[in-house]
Amino acid sequence: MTVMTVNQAQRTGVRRTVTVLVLFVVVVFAWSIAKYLL
Amino acid sequence: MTSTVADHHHDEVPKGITRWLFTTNHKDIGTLYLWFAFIMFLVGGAMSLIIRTELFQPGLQIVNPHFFNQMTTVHALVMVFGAVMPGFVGFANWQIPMMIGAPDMALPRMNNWSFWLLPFAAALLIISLFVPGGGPAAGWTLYPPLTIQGGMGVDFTIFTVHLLGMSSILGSINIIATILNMRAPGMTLMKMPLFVWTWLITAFLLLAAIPVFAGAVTMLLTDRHFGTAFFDPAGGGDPVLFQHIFWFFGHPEVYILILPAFGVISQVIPTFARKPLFGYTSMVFASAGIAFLSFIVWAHHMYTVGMPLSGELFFMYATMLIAIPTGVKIFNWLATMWQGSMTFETPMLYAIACVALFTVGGLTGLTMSITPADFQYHDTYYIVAHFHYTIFAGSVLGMFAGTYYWLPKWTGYMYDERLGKWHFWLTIIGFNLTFFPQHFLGLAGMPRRIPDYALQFTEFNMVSTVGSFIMGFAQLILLLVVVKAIRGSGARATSEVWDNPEGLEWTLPSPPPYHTFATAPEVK
Repeated sequence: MTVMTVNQAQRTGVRRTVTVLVLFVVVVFAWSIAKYLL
Repeated sequence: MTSTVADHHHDEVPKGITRWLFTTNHKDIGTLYLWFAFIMFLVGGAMSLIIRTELFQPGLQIVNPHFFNQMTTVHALVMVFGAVMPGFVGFANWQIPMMIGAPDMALPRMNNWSFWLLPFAAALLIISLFVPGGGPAAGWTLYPPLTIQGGMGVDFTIFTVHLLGMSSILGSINIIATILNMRAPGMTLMKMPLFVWTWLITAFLLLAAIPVFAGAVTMLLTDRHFGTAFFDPAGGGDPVLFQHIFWFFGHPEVYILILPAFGVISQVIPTFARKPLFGYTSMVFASAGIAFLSFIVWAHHMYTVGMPLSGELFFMYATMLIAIPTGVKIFNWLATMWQGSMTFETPMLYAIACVALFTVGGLTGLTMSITPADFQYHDTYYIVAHFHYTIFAGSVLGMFAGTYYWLPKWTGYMYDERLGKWHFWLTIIGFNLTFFPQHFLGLAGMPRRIPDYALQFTEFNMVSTVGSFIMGFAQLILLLVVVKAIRGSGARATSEVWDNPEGLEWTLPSPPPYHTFATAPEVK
């Protein structure tokens, strides 16, 4: 049964968005500790 | 090019416990979030009643001081991280896909994971109350040195915060990815409903603030167990550093709690005023302005630690600036109601109460932004009154407005309007009885987080306790209203439910099918 349609542009967009946001979170977390160690 | 996803999605609704354990459906996950939030709301509420019972009269009656401190701490953590935040994620899950014409969230499996982290985190926090040394007792701010000296319960709390933070980050990534990529054709950013806008901004706030908090509690953990001294003066550390980091997270957190409520009432007021929202564009920019300012005002929570005068002045003026975008919002809501054909169903009553009472909280906030005045208010009941007028009157009343507004859409049945009004009036009367006298107590010098007080504070404390019980037990009416609507005891809801409401969700039947917008709608 087909119920959910997602086009290729949306898939690519979601992947890009997630990559950027995950990188952002990792950098903020790492920096929030590292700045007190450096 | 359109591809079709057919692997996990079927038209029939899954049955049994596995439906809820393994669901990737945004409506199911929204429901799970909302029930979780409501249960946490009752748990946190019960803790507040323990606090208020102890404070009914001076002296120590019901609990010992250490347990009292645990109650104030865990009540706040449960309410902030267990009730209000998950509650609005529940709204986001239910509403955002339907409002932007998307078939589901962008990352449905991750959505399931974000939710199922929560019960384990909550269980850890509650269990912390029963481990040797008891639960965290340093206040929700988890300030060292108390949290460095605390027992095993603090470790449980740190792990809880990590889990809750992970859940929030995953949820925020999902919401941003959904809003930026899954909108129906024609649904430009500036056509999105305000609720979607406020959630988009909130999700960015979460992504910028939560990792900082996670960093702070990680450093706390290493201070406790791995020989570091970030916050321990004995090793050259500085406890005030923790306060700076905490409030760099903590102030945006306040707006994380309030912005989605602003979004909800920006949907509710136009419907019941029968007018379009006044100043849509300015509402969007005001929300973004509030979000930006929230990152440059953190030290107004800690004026009394001793700061350079220039620092105090900067944080004072920056804090005062927040009144401008907030004032824009309040003006726009009033202008939307102005000369509207208003009716006062329960969602509208809650929306109006939210605007009126949040404004009281905003004004007391403005008084505290003034550094020398804050030296008097700091750590008194004036602060307790202030933040309950923002978090309860703003966030929770906004959540109630949204619950009554969308409940017929979610369940397919109208709620009991008479019970809804009872819930409203008892909540509002109870809330004001509880918290309004606390302004006077604070101004007269009653400190917060102390289980005993001087005799002259007795009458206002008694009033406050009576109010808290009225407010607390009134929430059982909400439970009754929701259960009745789910069991279908009211009239059938039409797809529009209200009189010409704006938005794609109202084009769907009530309740909406398990899967919606399999074919994206065209937005004109």
